[in-house]
Amino acid sequence: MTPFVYHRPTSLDEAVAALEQGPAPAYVLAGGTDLLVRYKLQNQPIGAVVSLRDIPGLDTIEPEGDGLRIGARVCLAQILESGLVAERAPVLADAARRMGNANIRNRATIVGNLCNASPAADSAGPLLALDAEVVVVGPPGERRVPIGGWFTGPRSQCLADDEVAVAVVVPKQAGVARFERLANRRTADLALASTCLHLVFADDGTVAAARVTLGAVAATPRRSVVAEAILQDVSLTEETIRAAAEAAANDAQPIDDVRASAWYRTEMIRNLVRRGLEALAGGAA
Amino acid sequence: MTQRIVLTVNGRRYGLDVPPQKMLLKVLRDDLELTGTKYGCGSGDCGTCVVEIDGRSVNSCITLAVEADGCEITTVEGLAEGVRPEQLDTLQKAFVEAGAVQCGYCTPGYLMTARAFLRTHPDPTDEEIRETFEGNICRCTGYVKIKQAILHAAAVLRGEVTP
Repeated sequence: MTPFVYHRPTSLDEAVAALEQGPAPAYVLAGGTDLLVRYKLQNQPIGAVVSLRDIPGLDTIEPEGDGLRIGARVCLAQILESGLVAERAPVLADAARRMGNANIRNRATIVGNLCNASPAADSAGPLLALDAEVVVVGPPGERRVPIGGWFTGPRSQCLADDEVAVAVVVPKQAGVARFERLANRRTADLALASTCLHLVFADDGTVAAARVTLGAVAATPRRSVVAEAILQDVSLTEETIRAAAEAAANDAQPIDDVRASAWYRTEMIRNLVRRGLEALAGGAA
Repeated sequence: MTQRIVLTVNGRRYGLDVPPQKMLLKVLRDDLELTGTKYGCGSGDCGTCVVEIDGRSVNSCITLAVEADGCEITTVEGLAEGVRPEQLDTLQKAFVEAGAVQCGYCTPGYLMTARAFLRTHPDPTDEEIRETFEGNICRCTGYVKIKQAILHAAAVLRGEVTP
């Protein structure tokens, strides 16, 4: 395997400096379950690795306001073990439970999943549905990127070469949420289609706010605002659920690949959205 | 170019100079001659390379050795107290008794995943076992006996049955 330079900074300033020092291409390393697999098996060129291991404060889940701040080194197993996540963003744990496998979940991170930016990234749905923000540190200091503006294309996001994603902040949201996912195998396989649904109900039982996300059926994980608009201010009935699912399917722009055809993905996102909304309608009744 | 690291493996400290790109699995097998841990898929799907790092079961084939610097590592060699059958640990005995070992290549990974799993799930359900071991593949497909062995070891560790 081609050698690379290994930096293990002990502060974020040093990490940014190490990314600039390179040699390029320099990658931030958290769990490594995407980066190192691509390096080993797909000949991903790596000039330098900047390890987050010894930077304090990145391996914890902390309360932030009513919500959560999840550090860049927090592994998926920690998400599943966290009482704070269970209380404030349980749908994120529902997604984390479906990611990788138990051993992978002991290394793989939520922030890494966002940086890897697969169109099928499972953590993206809940984070889009809950209006999360990614905390990024670069030479000018810290900035926060709303998750809706994070993904820029298949496997790309808006991080500059000398920036580090240090945390994701998840606000606490009222309402109910559900994550639905379909894959050829139950684990250790990318989703063919996934959706995260988040609904806030008004006192009269109508939908006061809706989030419908699309996973693995577009160039990036994203929301379906047309499906959300259909749900706004209506009651969940067979008819409105069917209309929202149809809108989500029409909104999807999937591709044919080794896992599934575009046609199949479209059919499945329709079913997943319908199934998820039916489950939430049952819960609300 | 190499990096100086210290690994504590099965309670013994080793100082090593390793290239940064070298995976922990290669260091364990080639440098420390601990060949119990196996190489399988190389991508974290099959689980035969699993070791414990600071109490969590991880795929050593996609973990850089330099990232384990200063950590406590347990490999399958760290389980038994000696080479005689009665010196095997509870999980190993349960695997032998249940006939959960066929070709044996996946066994170290199952044992190491099970060891970490039973610490957090002392009384696991069938479903929890199926979910947890989705990342461990037995090509001989001896899954039923592996599950029985894990359930039996759990019962022994809870003190409910004698080994």
